[in-house]
Amino acid sequence: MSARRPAPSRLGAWLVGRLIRPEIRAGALGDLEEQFRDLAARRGAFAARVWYWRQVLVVLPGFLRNTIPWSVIMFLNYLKIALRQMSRQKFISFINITGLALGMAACLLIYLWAGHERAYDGFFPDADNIYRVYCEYDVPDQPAQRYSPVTPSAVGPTLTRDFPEVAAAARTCLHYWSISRQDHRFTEPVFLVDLSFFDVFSVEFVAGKRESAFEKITDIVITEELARKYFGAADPLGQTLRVETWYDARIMGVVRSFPGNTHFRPFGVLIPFDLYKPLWGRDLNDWKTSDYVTYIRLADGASATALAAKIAGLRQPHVTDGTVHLRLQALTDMHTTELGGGGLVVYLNIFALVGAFILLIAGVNYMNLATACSSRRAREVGIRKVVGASRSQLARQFLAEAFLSSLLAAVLAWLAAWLFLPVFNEMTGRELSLVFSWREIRFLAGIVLLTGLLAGSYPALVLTAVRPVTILRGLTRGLGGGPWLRRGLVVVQFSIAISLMIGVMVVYGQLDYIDTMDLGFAKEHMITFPLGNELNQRFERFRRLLADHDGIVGVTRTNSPPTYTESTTGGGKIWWEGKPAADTGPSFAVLGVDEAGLDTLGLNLAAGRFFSTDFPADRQDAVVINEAAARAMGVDSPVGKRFRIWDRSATIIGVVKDFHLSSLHRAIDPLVLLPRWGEDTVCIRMTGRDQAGTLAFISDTLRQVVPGYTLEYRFVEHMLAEEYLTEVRSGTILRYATFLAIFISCLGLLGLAAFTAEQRTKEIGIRRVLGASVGSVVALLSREYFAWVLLANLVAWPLAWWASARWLESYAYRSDLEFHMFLAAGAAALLIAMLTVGGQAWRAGRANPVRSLRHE
Amino acid sequence: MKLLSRIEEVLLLAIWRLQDEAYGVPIREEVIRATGQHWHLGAIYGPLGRLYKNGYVFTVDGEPTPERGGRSKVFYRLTAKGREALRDLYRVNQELWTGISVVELEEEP
Repeated sequence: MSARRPAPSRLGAWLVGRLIRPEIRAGALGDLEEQFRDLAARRGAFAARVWYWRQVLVVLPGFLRNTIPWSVIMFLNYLKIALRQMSRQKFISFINITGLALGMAACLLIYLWAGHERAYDGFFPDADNIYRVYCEYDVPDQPAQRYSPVTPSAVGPTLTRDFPEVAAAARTCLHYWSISRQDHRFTEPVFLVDLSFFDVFSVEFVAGKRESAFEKITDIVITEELARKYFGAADPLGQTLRVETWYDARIMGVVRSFPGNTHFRPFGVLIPFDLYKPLWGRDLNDWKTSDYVTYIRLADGASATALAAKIAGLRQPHVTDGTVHLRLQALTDMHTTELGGGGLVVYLNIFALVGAFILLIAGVNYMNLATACSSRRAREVGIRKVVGASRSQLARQFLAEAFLSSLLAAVLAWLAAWLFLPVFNEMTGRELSLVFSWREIRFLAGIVLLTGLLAGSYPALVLTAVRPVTILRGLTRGLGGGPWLRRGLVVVQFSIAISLMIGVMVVYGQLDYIDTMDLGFAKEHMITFPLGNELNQRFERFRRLLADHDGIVGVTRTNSPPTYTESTTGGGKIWWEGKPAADTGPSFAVLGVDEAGLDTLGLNLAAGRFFSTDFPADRQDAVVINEAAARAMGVDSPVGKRFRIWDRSATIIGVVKDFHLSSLHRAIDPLVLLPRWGEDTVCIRMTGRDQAGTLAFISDTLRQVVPGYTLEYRFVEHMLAEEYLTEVRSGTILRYATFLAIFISCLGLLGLAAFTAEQRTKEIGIRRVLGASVGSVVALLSREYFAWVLLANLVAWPLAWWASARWLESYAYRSDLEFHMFLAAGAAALLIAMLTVGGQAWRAGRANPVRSLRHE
Repeated sequence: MKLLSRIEEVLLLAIWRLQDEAYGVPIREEVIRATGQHWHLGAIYGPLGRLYKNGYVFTVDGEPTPERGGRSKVFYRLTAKGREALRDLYRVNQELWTGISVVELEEEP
């Protein structure tokens, strides 16, 4: 009962509270509420509300008249003083505002970037309700193989049928097939999808209808972009495109192309999923083999966590060995977060932290300089106090000054961000733009508030604490808080800067390590391109024609480019001679390759032999494994042993040396090479001499073998580099951020040093007159700063060591953390700091002592 | 002797009259009843706060009740100073009204 009772509005109560003396406020509010409730009970909540507001509104005008004009006048006075203060201390203001502006600009850019990355796939209507189903395998020793984005074909239909929480589920699988119209033939990304794909993703049809999109199994849907490519301005609806050499497909729909920020890239052709059955005789309701990406859209109000708990064990009964769970990943997380955690999101978080740090450094500058120069303000504070300013009023004044500085800085920050954006875009590889939108304004306003509060609160606390009597008697020494806090803050600044510097060195160290590491196969001068069905049939002829060219080392077919393989056995399904009975065994990676694989990929044999055309039986009865597999199997001489994978039984004919089939984040998995299995990629290795000529030759030969075929190749080296793109980009951004951090720290140090030098002008003059050298004055003034930065090193080292070690843990193969990195960062910081301070000290020391002594 | 303003006088009298029941709501009702005109919020609690500050009244907290949103009633009582002020006012009023006939006031000049 009582829970639903109407209560007076909070705003109204607050306003009333402003009007009434605090001593009797609580009682008065109680009185009002009692009357309100009474009225609400007798005449309804609405009447009570009206009554309450009338109570408030009647008194409001008078109240405002009595308070606002005075506040405005005071505020204008604060503003005037603040502006005067700024113009009087130009150098200090410059340092403050530049530092804050740079810090804010960095935050703004990082915010833009993070916002862009996090918005991936967010444009799909109802994106928050879309999830991807993935598998988690229980393979304790191989964390890299734990998660797999592909699911069995039965998952989609089962989820739609048995779970009311699932509004729609769609299975998808990407192939690269040749699509041709008359003489135009290109290899296109082809998605085999359920019709429900259009329900899950609410794809917009530009032409055709969703209902009739897949009327016949040979119907297809294409994107606008593709329609233009094949048909120009002509209407593609009802036209046909030839899919490989298999059949003519009728275009039943044209959908709007997705914006750039989606994981569906590339995207082009949509074909009915059911085509798998007539095409390759696949079982479309199977629980064993994982090949398809399954997306679901939740029904309104359904909970993803509840559903995830329900479906976790769904696949388990169908698996004979090993353990597997179905899991859900939000569509909007797919771009930033890798299955099982990690990925881009780690870098986004790191950079959010870095941005905050840079802003903190700039805020510290403001705090330090404001308190250091407090003696100049002391008299003003004293007078204000004498004429009756309360401490809170004064605190408000100093806060307002900090806000003014941060507001000015924000304007400059916008400008700086705008100027720097093209460079930043290059670094991130994105097309970000700085628009005057509510989102950015809100962020910047938040930053201004935060900075103003952070930078202004400490001066407000310290400067208002002075006692008027002491000040007005002329004693201004020892004001502005203990120098210890100031020193502490400088140490904090430099600790951050030094840690960032070490971070940069560690990142570049690791990237260099990756770059120079021997991957175990010949990545140089190797190209790959999709193997079409036609080319596969005429492959021997293609190979023969290429073999004569002296720029080509070898040509082979594989099931995927040698930079990664998604095919794994996921624990179990593998048997070998001598396998312990109870053991489920490791999960094997599987790579299909033909007889030329050894030479083309540049692999090295450790034992036995490779597949060969001299042994026709190899096709059925041979596998090659890598050393990691041999180790995992615990067999001393595996060559000659029997081996079974899925329902394929064969003899191990050779062992190849370990090579890196995936990024160095992952340890080398046990690998089994199958002859001529699932091949859909061509790899050609060239010598590197006359590369352009060789490529032209390959292209010509290809067209000769398969008329109309266009060579669309990629270099393996580039594909490998892409694996580390995030790291490389992050490294660059981190470098700039570090530079900023050091620069702003030094700005602060410069201000402090200049200030101390000025304060000690007379002392320096006397010392000089008595015979001190310039050098000794410089030493005198720099000594303490030297000590602070040294101390900052001691703080930064363990922190940086800990953070770097955590980051490096994400690599199975990593460079060592070397002590010289820490030493170098520390020395660099020390050097920069000393140059900054030394310059000021040098100037002070060189000044004519006669002038110095006349100072003040 | 410091003379209080009229509303302060009315408030003190209302509080005295209500005795143990003198908290905000009845005080305001009493003031409105006696004067026959509407007194808005600020006009009541402003002077009441002043009286409190200047030591004419003190407050006693009652039990918190649900109809007041969990807030306690705050009862007002006169302090010795408050009672003395009322006595003074009574004397002044008597003095001022002595010899004045209301009947004459009602006659048209």
